[in-house]
Amino acid sequence: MRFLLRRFGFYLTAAWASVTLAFVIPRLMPGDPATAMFARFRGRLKPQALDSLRAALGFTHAPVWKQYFQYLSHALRGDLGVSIGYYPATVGSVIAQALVWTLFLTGLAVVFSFVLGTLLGLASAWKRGGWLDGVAPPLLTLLGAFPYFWLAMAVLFLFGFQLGWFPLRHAYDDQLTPGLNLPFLISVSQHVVLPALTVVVVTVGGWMLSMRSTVINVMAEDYVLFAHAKGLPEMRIVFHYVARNALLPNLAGFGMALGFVLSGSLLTEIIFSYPGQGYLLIRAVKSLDYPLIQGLFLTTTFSVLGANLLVDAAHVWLDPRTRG
Amino acid sequence: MKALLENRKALVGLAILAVFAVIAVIGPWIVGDAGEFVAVPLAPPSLAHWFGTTGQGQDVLAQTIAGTRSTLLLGVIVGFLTVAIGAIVGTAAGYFGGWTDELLTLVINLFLLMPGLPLCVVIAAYLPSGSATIGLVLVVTGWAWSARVIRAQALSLRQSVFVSAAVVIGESPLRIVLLEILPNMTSLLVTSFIGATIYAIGAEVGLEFLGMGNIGAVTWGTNLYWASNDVALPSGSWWTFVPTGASIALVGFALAMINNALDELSNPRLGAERAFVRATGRKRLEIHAPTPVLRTVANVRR
Amino acid sequence: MSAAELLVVEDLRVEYLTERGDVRIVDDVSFRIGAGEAYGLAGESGSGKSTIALAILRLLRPPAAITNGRVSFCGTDLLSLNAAELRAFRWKEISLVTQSAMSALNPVLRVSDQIVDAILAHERVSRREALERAAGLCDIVGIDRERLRSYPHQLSGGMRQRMVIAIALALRPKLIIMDEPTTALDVVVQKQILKRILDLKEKMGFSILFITHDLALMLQLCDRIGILYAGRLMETAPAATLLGQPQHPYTRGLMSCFLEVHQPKADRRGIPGVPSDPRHPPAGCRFHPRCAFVMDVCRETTPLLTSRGAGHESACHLPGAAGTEVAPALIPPSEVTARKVTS
Repeated sequence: MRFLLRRFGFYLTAAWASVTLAFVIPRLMPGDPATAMFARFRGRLKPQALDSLRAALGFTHAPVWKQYFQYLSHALRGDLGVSIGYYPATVGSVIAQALVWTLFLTGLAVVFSFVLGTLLGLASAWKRGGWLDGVAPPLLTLLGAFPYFWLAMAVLFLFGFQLGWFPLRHAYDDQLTPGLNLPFLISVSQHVVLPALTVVVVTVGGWMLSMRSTVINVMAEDYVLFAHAKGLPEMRIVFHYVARNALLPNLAGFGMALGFVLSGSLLTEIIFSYPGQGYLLIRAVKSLDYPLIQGLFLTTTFSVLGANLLVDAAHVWLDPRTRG
Repeated sequence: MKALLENRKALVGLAILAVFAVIAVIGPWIVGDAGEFVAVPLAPPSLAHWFGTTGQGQDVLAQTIAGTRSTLLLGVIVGFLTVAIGAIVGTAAGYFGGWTDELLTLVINLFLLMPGLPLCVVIAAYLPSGSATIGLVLVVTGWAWSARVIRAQALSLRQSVFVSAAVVIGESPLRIVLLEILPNMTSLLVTSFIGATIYAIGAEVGLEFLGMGNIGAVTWGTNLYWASNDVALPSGSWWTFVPTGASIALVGFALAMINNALDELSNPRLGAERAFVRATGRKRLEIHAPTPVLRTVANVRR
Repeated sequence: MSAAELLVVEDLRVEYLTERGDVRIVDDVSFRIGAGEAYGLAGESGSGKSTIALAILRLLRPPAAITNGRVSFCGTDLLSLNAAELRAFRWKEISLVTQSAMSALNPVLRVSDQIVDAILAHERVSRREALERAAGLCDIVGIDRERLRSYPHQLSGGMRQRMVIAIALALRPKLIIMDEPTTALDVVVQKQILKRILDLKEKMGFSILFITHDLALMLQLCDRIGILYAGRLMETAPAATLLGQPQHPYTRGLMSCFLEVHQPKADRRGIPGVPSDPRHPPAGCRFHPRCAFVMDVCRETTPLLTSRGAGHESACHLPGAAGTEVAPALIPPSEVTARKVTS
């Protein structure tokens, strides 16, 4: 329990640090966002708009520390400002919808990839020198070397455009009404296959190699030798003695990698025009929608922190040593 | 070094890298101006243009070759800077311990956890687009990974006998770090550098694809940016993005193979196992099988 | 093979097959253990004693292979069993207690599960019955039954070792191999556990193959002792004989390494030199580079085990008639003579 509390404290600190970072970065940059936007969209913004824009972005004439606390309190309340590109919608409302889709896609892909990679790693380490051990790691390393968005393009091209097996964009068929009805659910499932497949293909190699490495180490441990001496059936040794112990370090690595995977997932969304945060991100970049960019940074960071907390909870559940 | 050249994985990786290195160096001379309009846009591969043409009528092969230098150069520079900063922070944390370590570890973990892409975008949005900006944001988001790994190694080296002795003698921390600790981490620094370069190339391409690079320049990332912008997919023009993607993957794969080979070399158990498999005449290694009884081996080997 | 002989090990040879050649870890070792007997195998670290223990049950990992010899248990040739037969045989007939009990126990399973799964792997009983038996085993080794529900990290070192012994007794094996079972524990706990083991041996009638580098411990516990050096047996004798009339210079060296508290202060001599590298063993007698009595023949010919008395064998070129001590002129002046080890 103490372990979880300590981790929670860390995540709280991390959350505070990211909010602070989001506050500090614009103020470190030469000029301020309003001036930067004016410079880029020369002629499209009236000079009077600059002042209201600055105010909207929190660049008031109050002293910096006051601005900071105002920003913090806004963030705590979920008020991330007003979006420039989607004016007058608030950043929060724009992100909320997208967040659901991102969590759905990435969550699904990541869990599937981790489970598959872990099983493959276990199998390849148990039967070393077999074909799985020889072929899979280099092949999956090669696949993992392709950038997410490139693989997304390839997958979309092959299975979407050429073969027509799966839909080409969006999260569901636009003509359907969202809700807990069967046609909608089927459509959602169809639309998530290709993007999720992309993320799985890029990441599964990493999990496999990592599990393979920990399994090899665990197999050299004394308690595995003892288990063999006891004459236990092979399956019991594989799962209860080897896999359960080898899984623990991998779980920690899983949490660490989530931020990285999320970044790649965002790029994948862009290719598939999947209405998640990746899609919002590219639009925000194109229109220099600073409040939205910052809001996305905060929500993606918080998502990763939350997911890590879940992973830590799983760790506590699986490892009796953390329970004290 | 010699052992590396004997390792099959390393050879494959080095060979691939060598090819790309050559292309990077002499490419732009051979190709000339890759950006010039040469033929009908979106023409499929043909004898005249081996990789076809882009949506703006440029030769894809030329574009790919021309992009090699910028992409690899930036990747290597970012990789180096990332490891350099990671080494400084990691060694400081591991060596000094105490509050310094606690604080630095907190910062390291923070940067490890935060998703890189949104952070890159937040910073880069305020800066002019181009390679320098990309390099900067990549270093800011990427240093933490090598810092963590180097910190762990520095921590264990700190406990070692010869470092403790140096501390007792009264050598200055800087000398100890430079003369005792860093030299013993060479293999770790090399593998970190390779890993960081892999990350840098991938991330750089990603940011350029989003349009944050200098879209006028010819790099692998901007090639893909234009391919996507020029509706490569709906028009079925696969040749506009496949060669670039394949190049990126091959370089990443080659670097990963070299890293794998380096790992294998530092783990002698794997080599011993190969010999055992040969001696027992089995096709694979079953660690959990009972100890084999080989009466013939003894006779044959004698 | 007499009815009382449980384990027969003949000319056992274990080698590591590596890229740079084969390394012989155990070199033509032979010994027998009878029913209800405690046989001790003593030697320095690296002498091959743990390797022998694991080789009997064929638990050695690659690159180890058994390249010669015969190991039979109650008539069954262990070296010819296949994986399935070996799995059924292990623990039921021969069980194992290893040095570090913490690492022998699976950290993620409760201790009760680790006893129960051994029982369930070999006998068709219900889980409840297996748990009952586990509780009974706790009583035998002297642990509170409540402790069954604990995880290994929640138990002290002594408790964990008792648990491991309880697991080893679970199927009432005929032979228990104990490899340094108490080395990692403090002296007080060590004594308690060893006493417990002896009591159980008397009550349950199992044999013990006791492996340790601590000769003093072995002399208390075992009926017969074998002295191992660099993978070869140097001397083997009943405990009392070994204590009173050690023949082999290595054994004498080992004896002189510990002092009797009550005796007058005597010169304590270790054995000079270091154990030989298994990859390049010395020619002739393995021990000759460190031997105070080395002769020319020792450098050329490997001595074989020859009888020096009832049940007493020594592999040495030094002359020693049956039952007599080695000629006094050959004993260095500071050699310590026989002592009694009292418990």
